[in-house]
Amino acid sequence: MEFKDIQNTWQQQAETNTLPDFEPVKQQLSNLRKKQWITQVILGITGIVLIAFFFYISAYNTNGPLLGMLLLIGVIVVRVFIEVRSQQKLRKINVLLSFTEFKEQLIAYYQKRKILAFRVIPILLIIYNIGFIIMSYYFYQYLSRGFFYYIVLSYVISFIVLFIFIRKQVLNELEILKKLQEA
Amino acid sequence: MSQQFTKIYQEHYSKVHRLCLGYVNGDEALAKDLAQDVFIKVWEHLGAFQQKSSIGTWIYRITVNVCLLFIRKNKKKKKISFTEIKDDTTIQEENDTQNRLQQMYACIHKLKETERIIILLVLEDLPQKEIAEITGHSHQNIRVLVHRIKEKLTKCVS
Repeated sequence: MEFKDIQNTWQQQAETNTLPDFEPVKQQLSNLRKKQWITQVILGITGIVLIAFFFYISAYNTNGPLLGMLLLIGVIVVRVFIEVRSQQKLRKINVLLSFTEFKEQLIAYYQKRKILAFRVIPILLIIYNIGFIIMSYYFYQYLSRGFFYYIVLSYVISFIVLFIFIRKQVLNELEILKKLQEA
Repeated sequence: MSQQFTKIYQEHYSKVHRLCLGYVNGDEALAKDLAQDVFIKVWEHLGAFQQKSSIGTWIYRITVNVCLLFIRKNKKKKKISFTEIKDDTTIQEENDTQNRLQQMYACIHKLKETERIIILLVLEDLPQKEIAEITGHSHQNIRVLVHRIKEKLTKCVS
């Protein structure tokens, strides 16, 4: 078979008769933008409230359960913030660039994600565990043994699940990076 | 802008959809989603169109970039069996074309991302100069690449 035949077959494809209505998409797009804006505002407010609360209760002086709790919540907020920012950066890559330039930007994006996965996230996970260890000291003192072990076991299980989830996501992104670099 | 967009949408949807269909191994639903993403970008950036190139080239440029973004989505699609396609001797001419298309989709899908994009633009009969403009390669480079990918595809489909 000649390439011309292949091209003919390709161009003989029936054109799509039904043109999807674009109006609902425009509406969805406007709703999505509103939601993104609301998410950013909520995240910003949460961050400010947490920092203010931290200083208000002088958590840095207390070494108490509040510090542990703030570390736990803080790590989650930072993680969510990083993810939201990262998604925003991906959306901001200019689709009007040439394919080669766009691919390079995409590779740069996934290389940054790799740094995030291997440097920032492990530090966050360590801080998260420190937070839990501080908390568990107080759990041990004030809670019944049974409830204490229940909390520890639940934490270990949920941490393993979280770790597997993050690992899967990282491996997927490394695969994408590899494909982009090979392309 | 809305009227201009509607005109562009009506005129270019089929071509964009066909290219997307080729990119996602003939998966109609995915192609529809991709084409929609393309036109969302067209809608968002229409004000930035400077008429340095034709609107068609401009849309293809967006299309190939949106297709590349699709790499991050998990591409799980039932694979079309080659044996199934080739063994079916009772099918009529229309079905033959359809099967050949499926075979082409599968062969295109085996190519690397850049090769896939380039061959889809070639199949759409775009001049090499425009393909070079869209992809950012030099004209000379595109000529060599197109020749190599054409050979690869022909060998796979035959």
